[in-house]
Amino acid sequence: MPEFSDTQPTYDLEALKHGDPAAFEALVRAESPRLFRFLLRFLEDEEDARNVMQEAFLQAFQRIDTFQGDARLTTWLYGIALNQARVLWRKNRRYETMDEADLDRLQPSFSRGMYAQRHRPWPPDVLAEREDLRQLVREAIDRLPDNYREVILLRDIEEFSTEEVARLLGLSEGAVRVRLHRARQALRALLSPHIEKGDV
Amino acid sequence: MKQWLQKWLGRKRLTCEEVNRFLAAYLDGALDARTQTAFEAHLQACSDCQAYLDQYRKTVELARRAAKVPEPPPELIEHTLAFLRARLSQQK
Ligand SMILES: [Zn+2]
Repeated sequence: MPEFSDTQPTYDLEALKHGDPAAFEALVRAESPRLFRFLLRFLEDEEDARNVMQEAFLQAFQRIDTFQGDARLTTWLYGIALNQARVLWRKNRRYETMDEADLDRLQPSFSRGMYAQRHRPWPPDVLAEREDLRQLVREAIDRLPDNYREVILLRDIEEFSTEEVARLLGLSEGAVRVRLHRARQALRALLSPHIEKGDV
Repeated sequence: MKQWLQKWLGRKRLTCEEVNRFLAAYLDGALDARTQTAFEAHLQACSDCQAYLDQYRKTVELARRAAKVPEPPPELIEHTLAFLRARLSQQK
């Protein structure tokens, strides 16, 4: 379940732009828990998540006058954090990641408009809490090329809207969906043999 | 059905491949009304696409569930504020 409320907090932008400490404090208090958890999911390390979050707030405060009112302040803040997290993730990468060609191979193939392979629904208990499957899914996500992993994290896990993800990544909504679709299909293909064999 | 006749009837038929291409937009509720109708009509008649959609949805759900992280430590906010105060006061 999303841990954050659907109602977007509104911040006193004027006060923020004037460097009002109380306004900044309110922003930190409201956004830290969710931003930290996002960064923890992204970086998979508490120390890294904390450091990136602190630096992101610092940068946000220093550059608040460059914030354009047409984006949501939280989206802007996440954009700053994401840029820093990306660099760190690349440096500390634990898995060898796939490339576009690998991803191509994981897309379903069609013959004359129909699926070349038959599919059967997955058993409902695949969603039961199982640590081995969770681990498998995590690894599969981490093996995706970075830009695909990011859309999965932002859209499916963090549950930003497609519009927000588009804004964050500087893409059109259509481009976000194309990337997301490829990433989901690759994940599905990676998980499918394990699920259908029933070994998880 | 002949293409012109389909057009004339204003109906749109989709192949499995097209249905597949629309999956993300469908789950976003972003298809236009005509495409949505055609999508759902195809889905209803095609067990392959139903099965694929089932796996696709479960993949999304599995990704979401795999990414559970613990609650942030209680001192997180105070530490962050302390860090920011220290750094911002250095700059003044
Ligand atoms: Zn079909």
